[in-house]
Amino acid sequence: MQSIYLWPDNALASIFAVWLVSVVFLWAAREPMLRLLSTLGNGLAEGLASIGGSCAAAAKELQQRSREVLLAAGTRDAQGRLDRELQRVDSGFSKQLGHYSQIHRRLDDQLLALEQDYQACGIAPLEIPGWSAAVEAIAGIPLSGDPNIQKVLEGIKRSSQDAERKALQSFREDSARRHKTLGTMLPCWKAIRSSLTRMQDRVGLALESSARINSFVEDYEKLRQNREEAARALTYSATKLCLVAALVLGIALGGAFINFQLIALPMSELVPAGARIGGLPVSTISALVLVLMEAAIGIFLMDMLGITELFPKLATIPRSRRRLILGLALAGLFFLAAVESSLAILREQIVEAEAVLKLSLAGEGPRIVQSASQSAIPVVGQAVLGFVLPWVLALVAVPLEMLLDSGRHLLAALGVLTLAALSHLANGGSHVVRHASTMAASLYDVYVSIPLRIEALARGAEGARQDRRYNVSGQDKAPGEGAI
Amino acid sequence: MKEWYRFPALVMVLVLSCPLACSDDTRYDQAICVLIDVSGTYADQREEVVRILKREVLPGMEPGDTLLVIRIDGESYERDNLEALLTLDARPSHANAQKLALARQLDSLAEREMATPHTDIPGAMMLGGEYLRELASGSRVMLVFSDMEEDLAPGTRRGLREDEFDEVSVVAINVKRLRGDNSDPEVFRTRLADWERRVLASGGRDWRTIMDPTRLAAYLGEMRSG
Repeated sequence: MQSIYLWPDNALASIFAVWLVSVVFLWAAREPMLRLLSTLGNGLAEGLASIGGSCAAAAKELQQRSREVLLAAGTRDAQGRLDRELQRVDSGFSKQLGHYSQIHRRLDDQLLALEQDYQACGIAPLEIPGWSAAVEAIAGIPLSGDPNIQKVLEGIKRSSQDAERKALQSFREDSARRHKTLGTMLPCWKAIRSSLTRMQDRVGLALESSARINSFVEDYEKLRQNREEAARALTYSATKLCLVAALVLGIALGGAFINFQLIALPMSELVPAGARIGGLPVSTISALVLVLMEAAIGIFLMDMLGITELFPKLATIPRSRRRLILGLALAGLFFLAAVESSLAILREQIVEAEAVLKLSLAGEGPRIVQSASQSAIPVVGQAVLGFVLPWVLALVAVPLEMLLDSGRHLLAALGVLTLAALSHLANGGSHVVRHASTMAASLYDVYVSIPLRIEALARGAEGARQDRRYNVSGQDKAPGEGAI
Repeated sequence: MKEWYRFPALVMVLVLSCPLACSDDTRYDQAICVLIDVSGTYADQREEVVRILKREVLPGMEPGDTLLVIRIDGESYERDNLEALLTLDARPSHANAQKLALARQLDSLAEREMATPHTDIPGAMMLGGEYLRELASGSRVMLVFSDMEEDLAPGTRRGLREDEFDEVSVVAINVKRLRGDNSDPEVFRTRLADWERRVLASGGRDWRTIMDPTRLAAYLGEMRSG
């Protein structure tokens, strides 16, 4: 500060001098300075307004595009769901109709059997042909006390009783047969009831499918008709999906980390342990590569199974080749799982050997070392983990695809928000700059107000002098000239 | 479309060959040269030295590391003074077996009867420095187990070159105090300061005195990571 003092010993005088010089200078340069401030303010304000407009336009365009993509994705999903349901219904109906003919035939058979059984159950009264007429004729014979007649009558009576007994026996046997037939009808009724229940279930399933199709069609129609609402719903859905996918991916990453830790140490037995890449041991990098390979194979596997579509080209290859890749991916994953399992066992052995070495170098006896490795649970546990984790890791393709799909929409939404915020900020900034430039011009005038006032007074005096001179010269002239 | 299998095959080949192909030129191995004084004044410390080596040095060595053990006696600049030279195998299991064998070798060194009237410390340091230079490991450390009292035989000359300990960190550990040191500690301190000056003047990367042997493993790890 003191460097600008004209008289370092007299600060007040120096400041006054600086102020005076600056005021005089700024007064002299007032007009160009005000023009500069105005131009600068207007330029900045217009620039910021232009940026704000561009950001708003970009946000609108991005929102529009994102909305279109979202709606297209939603429509595609709805169509896909509808197609899948229709295919399912188609195949289901074909199957169920095939079953229906079988059920119908079975019902027919069962009903026929029932009818036959019913007919077999009919009661036919037993008749002894000519027996009544013979009884009547014999009953008409007069009783003469003849012992021969008496004997004949008694013989007839005995015969009659025998015949009655036989008829009763026959009737009982018939009744028993009918009951037996009725007994065999019971399973038939049960079978019919079961067939009818099955038919009811099938019809219920068909109705359920119809309801689902109706729901999908309604969704699809909503998407077609009420696009704004559908876009909002889809954005919410995408956000939810993205969060869920991120959570599942985070869990999968935890699994991958455990997997990595399991094989990092034993990999040093397979690759040169001393070599490093970028400061990291090659064994560590190899373990990482192995874990990533499992994830990559999992992605292929899920694509081949039709669960994901991360490689759209793979969906177009023939079915036979798809099967081949699927088989290769499964075999590869099985191989890697087996390798990991064996590495996990090797890890336990290495850890034990190192413990033995340390204790041995420390001069401890072998007894302590042996007691530490008696349980087989850690080995088995690590082997099982080593085998299972690659398969679990293979499933990472599903949340990954979900995250990529939904993350795109979420990023677009965030981009729109950012651009809109920038637009608002730029517009606000434009207003602030415009007012600030006006304010700066006023402040400038305030700073040079004293010379301005002097100038105004001087101009006023000059004007008065000129007026006086004019008036004086006007009086000298003839009347009427002064008015010119 | 007919060559659909090329992309996954290429990815697999690239992924598999990456760790093998992208080799790093930087060396991360460590060479440790251990100088053990067997002269009369330090003879009683030999068992302790071997114990320190087995507890603090051997367990921390990694596959690819090298350990040299050189005896300090009256004429230390002899190749015969090299008691052990071992580079650990790349496979950890083999390296462990080598460590056990070396531990047994050190035990036998501790039990051997040795006593020399003179102490040729610079001769052993020069021999160790030459080996370390030849190994050109990523980090080079020289551990000196001695009382650091130089006592050359008559007619023996030892002059350290300017680049004698290039890139070598020298550590004096388990330094024994002599009778004179107890009466005047300044003698001991001056002796160590003199060694520090000589080592640094000969291109030594670092000079350090470690009193507590349990800190040695941490120091070696520090040196390895640079």
